[in-house]
Amino acid sequence: MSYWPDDGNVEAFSQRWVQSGGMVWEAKGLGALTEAVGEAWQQLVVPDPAAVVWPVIYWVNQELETIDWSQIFETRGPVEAWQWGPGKDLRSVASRAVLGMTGCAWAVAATGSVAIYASEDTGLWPSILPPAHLVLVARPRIVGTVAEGLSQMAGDCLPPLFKIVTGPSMTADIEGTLVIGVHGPGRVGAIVYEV
Amino acid sequence: MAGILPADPTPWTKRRDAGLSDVTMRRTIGIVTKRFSTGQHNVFSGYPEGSLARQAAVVAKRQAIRDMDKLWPRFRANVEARGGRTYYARDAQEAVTIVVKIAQNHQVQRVIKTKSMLTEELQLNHALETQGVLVVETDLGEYIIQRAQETPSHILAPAAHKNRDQIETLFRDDAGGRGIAPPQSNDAQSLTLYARQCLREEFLQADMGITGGNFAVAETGTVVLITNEGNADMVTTLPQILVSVVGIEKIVDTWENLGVLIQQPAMNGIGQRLSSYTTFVSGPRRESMVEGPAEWHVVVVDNGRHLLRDTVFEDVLSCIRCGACLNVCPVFRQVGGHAYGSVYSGPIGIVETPLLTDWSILPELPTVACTVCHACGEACPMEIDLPHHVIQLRQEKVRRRLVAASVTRSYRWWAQLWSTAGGYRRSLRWARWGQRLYQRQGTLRSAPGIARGWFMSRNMPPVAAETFHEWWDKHRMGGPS
Repeated sequence: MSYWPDDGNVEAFSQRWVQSGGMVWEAKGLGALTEAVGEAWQQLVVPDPAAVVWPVIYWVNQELETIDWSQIFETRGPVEAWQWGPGKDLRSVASRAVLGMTGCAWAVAATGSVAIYASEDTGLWPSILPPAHLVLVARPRIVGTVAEGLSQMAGDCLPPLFKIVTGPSMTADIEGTLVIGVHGPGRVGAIVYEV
Repeated sequence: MAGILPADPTPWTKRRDAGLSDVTMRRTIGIVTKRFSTGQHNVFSGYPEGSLARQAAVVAKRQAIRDMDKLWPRFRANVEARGGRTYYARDAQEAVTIVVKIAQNHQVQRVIKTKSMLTEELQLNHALETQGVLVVETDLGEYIIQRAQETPSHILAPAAHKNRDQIETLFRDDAGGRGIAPPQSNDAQSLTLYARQCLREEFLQADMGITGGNFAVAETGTVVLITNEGNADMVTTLPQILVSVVGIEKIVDTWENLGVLIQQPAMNGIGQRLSSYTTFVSGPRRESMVEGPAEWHVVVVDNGRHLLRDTVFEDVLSCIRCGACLNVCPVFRQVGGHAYGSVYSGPIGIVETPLLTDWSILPELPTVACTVCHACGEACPMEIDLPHHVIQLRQEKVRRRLVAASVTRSYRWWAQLWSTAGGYRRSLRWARWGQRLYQRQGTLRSAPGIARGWFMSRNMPPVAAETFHEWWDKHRMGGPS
């Protein structure tokens, strides 16, 4: 049962995201959000039990920055949580991480997509280098169409790099057989939240 | 100025027969093309907004082609305003020289590349490798055929002609050469995992990335890349130097028009509303950022595109490389991409190859590789009139005297004969008389002159002893019942 049964965008986004091969949770309030992150961890993360540490790399949208994410991740095991920030070159961390968690600038209902910008505070590597990616989608940021999302970026708002993610990394290059997880994450999850 | 494209010098008949006798390729290409064409059909069902966007996309692309010469300076100004560097290459030779020079200026040793038909057209990898630069293709299909030293056989699925056993053998040889563990088995998952592990190292070590561009936006100076694997995200964010090589026909005018175009390659190519990754590059990284290139070079290439401007073939430049025309083409599905001998295969290839090169390579394509069944015309989301263009190109071949005079004379004589009822009936009487020499067991198995080719792969029933017209003439005036 959705928290927002009358919000067609949430329903459409969730449906399309799942059709593309992702998983979806909903969360209303901070408590529910941290709980959903725990559930997502169980579904998405497959750490090497022999590894000494399980690196996690993350950044979140501004309204979630007050949450102590390190503490939340550390309840899951020997996690070493790295927060994206200005001037930090976390390339090697991202390539070793068991999970990348990010916010998003906007999401699209019609396609089940999320848009992520590269900036000093918001990175792209957490969404592409780890084998699993969890994206936190603020409900009001879900728009109807890709064109509506793109229209938010006209003029000076355009960052040097950004991308729209619509499901896991995949290929059908070998005999047309679908394989999930080529260069990017094979397991992707989205939590639609409102706090 | 005519473009320069690579061409397979093997004669068409040999290329065709090689394709027809490649059982593995025919089976694999059948699976792939059916999957894509079914996907294209399904994705538009229940999604009227997608169809409306497609119609708007056709209008936007056509206008962009008409405005090509205005859009390039605008695109150039905006890329440079955002800190990128731009270059214009009139042909393949100039484009290759520019990219090699960029690599040399930065002492580049390792390059990672996204899939790009334009760079195949330019033979860019070969030029860089000649200069001692290691170039690694990062799209899985391209990675496979690079190991096999082959060319792509399908715009979207470059290794569509290879099966799992062949790929496993390639990867085992590759692993032996590198001294690393080979793939665990020949299933698609294991083979993909092997490529992922090899390529992850390449991504992290490369000095320079090279991309193509699905779209370029004049208003913002943006290059857009569409992938399902995520390799473009690696290539655009990890190396210090990024070079985007983009055909001039890829420039669209506004950000708003990009919005109507952006879903079309995925919807018509692979049957998804959007590919897994749509990547936008609008400049090098800012000083305070760690991701993205320190330098971004954009090479805009003409290589024959302007030859099509202001001609009846101008719509060909609207092609978004979705491969929909290949997937439905009965010739492509039988002979595969390599039989065409050009970088561009299928219906778009037989039209585009002679036009871009001013007929300097593979002039046989419009004649030999099309049945004029019109399936491509129906499948093309950009409404490019491919079947009509094939006919126009055949006429152009005659005008340019690229067809043997004896063949042209024979067809002209045939056309004259069959343009009247009397001539048609006369020809049947001659055929009935002449066919006795070529009939075996009640079937026509050969014929003289230009008709001989028809019988190389098929037989034909003989002309009836009495045709319906002849029978009717005898009976309609109250003759015997």
